[in-house]
Amino acid sequence: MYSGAACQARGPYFLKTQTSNPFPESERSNMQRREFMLKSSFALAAMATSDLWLSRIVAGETPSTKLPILDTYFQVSKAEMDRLLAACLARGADFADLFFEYTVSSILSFEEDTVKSARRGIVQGVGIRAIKGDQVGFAFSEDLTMESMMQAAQAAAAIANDKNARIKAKAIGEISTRNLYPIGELATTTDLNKKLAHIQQANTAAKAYSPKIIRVTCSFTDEVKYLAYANSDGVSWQDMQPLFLFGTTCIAEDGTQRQTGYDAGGGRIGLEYFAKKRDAAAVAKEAARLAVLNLGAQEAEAGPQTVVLGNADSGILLHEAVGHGLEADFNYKKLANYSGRVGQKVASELCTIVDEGLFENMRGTINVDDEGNAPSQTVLIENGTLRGYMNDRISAKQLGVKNTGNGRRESYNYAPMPRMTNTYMLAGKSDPEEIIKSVERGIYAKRFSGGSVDITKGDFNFAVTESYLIENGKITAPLKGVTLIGNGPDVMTKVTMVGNDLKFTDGGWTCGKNGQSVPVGMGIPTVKVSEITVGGTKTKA
Amino acid sequence: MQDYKNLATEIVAEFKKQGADACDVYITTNSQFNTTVRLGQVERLQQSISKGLGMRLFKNNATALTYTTDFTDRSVKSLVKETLEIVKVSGADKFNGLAPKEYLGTYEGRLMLFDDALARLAPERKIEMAREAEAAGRAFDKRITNARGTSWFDSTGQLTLANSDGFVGQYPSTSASLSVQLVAEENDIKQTDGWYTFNRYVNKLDSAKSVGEEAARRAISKLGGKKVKSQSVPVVIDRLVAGQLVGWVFGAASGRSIFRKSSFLVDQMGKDIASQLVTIVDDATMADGPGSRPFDAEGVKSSQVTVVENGILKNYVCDSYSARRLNLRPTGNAARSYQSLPGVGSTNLYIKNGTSDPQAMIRSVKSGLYVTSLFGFGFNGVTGDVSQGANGFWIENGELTYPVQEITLAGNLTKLMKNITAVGNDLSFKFGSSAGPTLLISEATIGGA
Repeated sequence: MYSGAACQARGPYFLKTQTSNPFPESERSNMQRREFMLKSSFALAAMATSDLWLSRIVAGETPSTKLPILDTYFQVSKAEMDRLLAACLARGADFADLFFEYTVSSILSFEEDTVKSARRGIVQGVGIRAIKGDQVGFAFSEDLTMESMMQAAQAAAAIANDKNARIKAKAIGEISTRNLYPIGELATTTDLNKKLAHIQQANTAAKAYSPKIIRVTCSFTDEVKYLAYANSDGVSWQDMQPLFLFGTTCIAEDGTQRQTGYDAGGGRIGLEYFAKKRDAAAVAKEAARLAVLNLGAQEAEAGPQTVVLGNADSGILLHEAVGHGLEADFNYKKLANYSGRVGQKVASELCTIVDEGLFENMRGTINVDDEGNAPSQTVLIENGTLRGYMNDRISAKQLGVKNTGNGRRESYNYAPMPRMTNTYMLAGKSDPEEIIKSVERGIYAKRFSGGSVDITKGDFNFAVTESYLIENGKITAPLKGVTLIGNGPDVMTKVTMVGNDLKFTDGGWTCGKNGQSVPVGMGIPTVKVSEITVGGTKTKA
Repeated sequence: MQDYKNLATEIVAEFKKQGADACDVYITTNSQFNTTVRLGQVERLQQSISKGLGMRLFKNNATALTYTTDFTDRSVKSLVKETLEIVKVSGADKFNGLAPKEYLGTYEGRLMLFDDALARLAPERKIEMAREAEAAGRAFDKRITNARGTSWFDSTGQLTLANSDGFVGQYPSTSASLSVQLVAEENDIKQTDGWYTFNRYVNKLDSAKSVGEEAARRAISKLGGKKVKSQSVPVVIDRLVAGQLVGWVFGAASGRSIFRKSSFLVDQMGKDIASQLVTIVDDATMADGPGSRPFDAEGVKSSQVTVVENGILKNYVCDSYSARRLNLRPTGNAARSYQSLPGVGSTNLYIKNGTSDPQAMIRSVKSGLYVTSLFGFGFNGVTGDVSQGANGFWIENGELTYPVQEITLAGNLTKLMKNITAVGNDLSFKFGSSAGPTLLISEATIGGA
């Protein structure tokens, strides 16, 4: 999982949008097949606070207004969609779907007290899929002419090779979805000068934080996706998915030493984020604080240590150590270490872990998944016992279980697969201060830049950007260059205390899997893990 | 495939007419075929043609970019207008602009970017190769119990760039790859690993059988992996990992990182940043190189640049903006997609071959780690601090023994590069466009049990 532009574990210099090398740069890292997550200044952010619990219930009651997206952006009639679906089924596929997307994106980059560049783009296309059993034929087209779309439908249909269709598509009827992302002022269509005002506020705040701050970079990244969908089961829906991220990067200098700090905020929300949740200055100050803090950070000791994970961002533990391993595609293929273990104890009894795409305005929230199913509250692990997996259409059929509405895709360029939405651990009973006090010597890890996992063996890692030494129950010196590494199923049994302070992230987390990136949210209370291997530069004296 | 030279020059002309000081248009088209076979069955079949167009404008020293996948006249015209509108919010920056005219051009030497034979390769044959590779891997050893998928991927693309200084360039390219991912199992422990082959030319790919067998060998070799104690030891860096290290150095030597002071190589020009055994080159003009190209993303003619020579930092790598900021010349390293503004990217980036025999390098280590992969996000380019997850094999008395997993490798990249005491003679671009020979580093810190 990541909150940045990297798409596989390619290293921090890889920008997803740069394609100077025609070869998939992911070849090498694909061999690792690490599902991952990363946070950096290029991504869109998750937003969350504890009051979202309440918002969810309210949001659930709000019906969405029917949007004329199909007519406005695609000008494709129901009769034409019927013909395309029929073409997909013509060679014996048992299911087909059409995914129309029109995405408007905008980026403002601000550096050296000025807007360095303004960017805006429109990407449109249709992704067409035919399924037979668990075999998938897929094609997309950026030309929305009937001729091009029909070619794509025929290419997708080729996954099956019968002479005739086996089934007919059902009549298309639109389903209504909830509106889990009510918007005050949509970032992508607002006056650029309004965004600029927030950026300037952040720039001023970061510079004022400390004379050690020598460079401030702000970026305002936003998009709105207009989506229309139809499948051969007769299900169709339309959705407007907004997403924005405001991020600040600071460089601090002290003598010859330099350090960097980054923070971001946003979600499926409009500019009202700044008034409702955090203002731009608060985001910038946090970035400045991290940069200055790390100037004084000392080297960490390598080896197994007791680790206290702070609330919110440490949700990365759930995402890597548990989440990916519980995506059902890996499990019906028996590829994950959690395969066939439903009902077994896989974590400490203190752990109850849930995936839920229903929190209002949160980054991983969806009104409907990319196959037409409502997202749900999916209990993955309950008091340490594995309860189930996250499913899409294919995996649910293969496993003979309920579809949990986790079928997601990056864009019309890709077919959907089981993905996380907002993944979190329920609060426990411990006072966070008591958790710190209980540690004689260890590490308190609070913020992270990214992580990855090998879902077959379960080994995960994550890179820490804010951590401290714990000595005699007290948080002391900040540490630098810390990576945590462990085995998911092993580490989850070593969770010995869970705090009462569940919090969701407000950082920009994006999850990468098989080359596709999707925005996700996560949350966790303060958690104590009795032992994780710490990657540091010092060896024990 | 359509020729978009005319479209590109028309947009440039339209921008000029509407009052642009300068502009460029960058168009990419791509036709892809992609299939995955798992346990003998076709799991995925994907075929698509995609395209994108980005237009970059300079006006009063400010810049803006718009992009689209819709090439219709109406869409393009409205974007031209939009670009002229949004540039008003951008601030003036005297370093903005196209690449200086004297650097523009197309490298005329032999690059071998396009393989005609790819177009003649039937989809059935591609599926068959994937099947063959997977079958060879599964038959290799009975401990191979499952497969994560074997994928064939190929792409035929064309890039077109035109700017208001009269540069018009275009080149087609092809690529193909075959990758196998298998699961090995023993004593209820599963391990996964894989192998791949890629090339611009289909007939230069390794055989399907050899790729499948190598994937099996790698998955099996990880069985029985364990942690080792935390300690500081010599490490031998596999070629796959050397390519990663050189990528980090390149990123830190990027002009964009330097002027932002977000690099550990700030103020290091002309200084020792690595062992004198280390020379690092980026060469866009290699015949048959996976990263070769005739010009960069701003139209700067391709050339070769020495980044590090005998351990001394010789050049920062620059696009035209960072070159102007640093009062240097653009090195032909501008990289972009149609959706992005130019940044800095590598082409064929490598550590030059040394003279050591890789086997002898392993034999020289009494007790240490042979590193086959580094993963995670624990590299900080501002400080050069490295703290990554690692896999490999333990070296005992000069021999590879058991597989090592769930450990970390940490150190500062400058220190690690200075601690290189032997450089192998086995450089190859078979693994990626960033490459290096086997390296021996005298000391790094392992975090383990």
